[in-house]
Amino acid sequence: MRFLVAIVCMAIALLTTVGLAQAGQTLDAVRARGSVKCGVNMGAVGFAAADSSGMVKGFDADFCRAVAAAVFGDASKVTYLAITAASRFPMLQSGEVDLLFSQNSLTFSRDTALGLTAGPVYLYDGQGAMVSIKSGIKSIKDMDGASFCLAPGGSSELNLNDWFNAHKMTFKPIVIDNSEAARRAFFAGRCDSYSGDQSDLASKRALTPNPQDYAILPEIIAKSPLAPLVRQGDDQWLSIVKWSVYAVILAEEDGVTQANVDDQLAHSTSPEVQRLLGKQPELSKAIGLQADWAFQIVKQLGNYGEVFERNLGKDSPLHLPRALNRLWTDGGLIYAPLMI
Amino acid sequence: MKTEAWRASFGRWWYDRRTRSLLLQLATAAAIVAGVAWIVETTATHLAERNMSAGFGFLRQHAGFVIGETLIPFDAQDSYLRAMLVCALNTVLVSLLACAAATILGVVIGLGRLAPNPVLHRLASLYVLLFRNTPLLLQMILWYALLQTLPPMRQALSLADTIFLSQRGLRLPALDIQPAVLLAIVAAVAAAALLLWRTGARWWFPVAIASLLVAAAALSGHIGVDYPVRRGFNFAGGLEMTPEFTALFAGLMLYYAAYIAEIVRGGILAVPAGQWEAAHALGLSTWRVMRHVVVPQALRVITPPLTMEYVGIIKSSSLGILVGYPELFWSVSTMIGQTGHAIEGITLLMLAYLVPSLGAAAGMNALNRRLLRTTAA
Repeated sequence: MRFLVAIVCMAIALLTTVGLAQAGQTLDAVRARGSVKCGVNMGAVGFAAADSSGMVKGFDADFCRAVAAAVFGDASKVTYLAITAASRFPMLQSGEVDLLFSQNSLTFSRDTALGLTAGPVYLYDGQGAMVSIKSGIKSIKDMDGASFCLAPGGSSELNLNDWFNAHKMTFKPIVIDNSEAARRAFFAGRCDSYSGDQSDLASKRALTPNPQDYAILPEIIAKSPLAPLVRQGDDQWLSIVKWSVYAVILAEEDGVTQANVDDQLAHSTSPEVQRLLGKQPELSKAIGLQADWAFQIVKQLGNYGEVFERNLGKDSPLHLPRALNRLWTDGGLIYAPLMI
Repeated sequence: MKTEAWRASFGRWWYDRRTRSLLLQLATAAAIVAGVAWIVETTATHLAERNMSAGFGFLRQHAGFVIGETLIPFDAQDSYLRAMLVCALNTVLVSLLACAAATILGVVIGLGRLAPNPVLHRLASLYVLLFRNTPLLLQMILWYALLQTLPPMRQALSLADTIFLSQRGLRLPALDIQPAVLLAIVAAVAAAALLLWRTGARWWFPVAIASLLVAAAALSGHIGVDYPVRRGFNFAGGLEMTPEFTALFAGLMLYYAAYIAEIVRGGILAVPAGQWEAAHALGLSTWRVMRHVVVPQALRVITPPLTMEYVGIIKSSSLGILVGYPELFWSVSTMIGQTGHAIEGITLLMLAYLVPSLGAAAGMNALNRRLLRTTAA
């Protein structure tokens, strides 16, 4: 099925001129359509999953909504499209989606060879391994000869192989085409471990009825910088996506929260806060958005810390520590350029 | 005047059956070639516009991934091309085994459908009804899910500590035989068979020679048995049937056996009743009637549709990707996921499936021709 989608997308893209990116074209199309088409990994709890009322919630979903808030001043104007490992890049290439916030690790070839280009890293993650507590495994170093369930198409197979080679150990991969089936096989006991990004492991564990029976090992075998992707050739759209992410980060750096954003707009004397919240409208003209684009993002979604804690951190079923995703001022890697 | 003459000659030419059909065929061929050329040209242009690289050069890159089950050695440092080859061999393995097993099971069930015994007859009919009318993919996923409900590895069901069945699959003792010894035995038996066949000896001569040789090799320590033993995370040694392989193999076998059963039943019913009656009137036993009268005639009817089922098995083996068996489609899918070369990957995949499918069709057609010749003579 995922293959069919990928092929149909490719065919449409290559036999017509749909989705050919030119500067300004994506923004015009998004405005004309009235919504941002955002490719997400639907069903990944904490990243993009429908809640009981059918609302799509999660870290990725919130960043999609940030882009919609910047473009329309209304975070709800997002159409979520479920992607799979094989279909995500063709879907973006063909114009089926405007951007991907789909737990993508940023790699050289994804940023170059595929005709795609990446926005800023919005989550610093690492690939690890999950095991059942009953197995008694404490470290990946003890896992010579173990079997690993893996989701296909990603960089995780490559990373795992590199790590085992470097440690002169072997493993047996069990790669099942759809990640849902791979997840089920692991929780049924088919494999000794499931390997993937640690945030994704936490997300998969949160879906089981007995999450306390599984442990995510502390080792990180490879880094996973998650970043959004857009098509090459539309620099304006890339800027909008980039600065939507930066605005969320800048808000936290400047102490602007969802709760105090109105107050900050009215009373803040900090020049950067004033520029961020749109007191200097000529700044926003260069990006083709309304002056209050960043204000709308913070007003409707909050700052980076709020978005993180709500979806992945202490207020979520995943309970991930912020770790590398603290602000640079707190010893993390989250860092945005200057708003000038 | 001149136009009249031209019109007349044109008319003659246009209403000539051969010329016109030639012309129409040329036009159709030109349209197809132009269509393909347009698709290729448009694709190439648009790939370039989207800054996407095209070409088959990426096949030489390191694959970087590991394959869980291989017949020939494979390392992550090997190329994508070798990964495809390794997985293609897996496709061949599972297809061949499934073809053989589905044929045997299909014949048994097909005969069961014709059996006078009502229980046997009903059971066989129920089997065909059930397996033909549910999707193959669903059946495969069911087998895979059922295999997951087996006990975990540490509590594996075992038969005298030589055969183990667990969530991790089935482990059997394997024959540990050096290839040179195996080759020598096969060659000796083949030579004996040829010699004895020429001189009109009995069939059991080569069998006896084979048994003697195997016994001698076993006694002299050239053949041993490799028993599976628990080691670390899994069993070591022996022959492994993983749940992924088993789900794919069982799915293909059980599903296609239902179709083959119907083909066998149809083939036998196609032999006129007079043939049965005449053979019985000659005093032949039921077995001999089948062997010498019914089966040779039924085979002529059975072979062509059976070919289609074999080709179907090869193509359906691509469903292995959904239960995690590393077959050809799986390798190409992984390759596309890693490199993004979807068009090239799909093209290779189509060619790769065409070869064994056309091969099976050609082989079965040759067999069919031979059958037609022998029965006609």
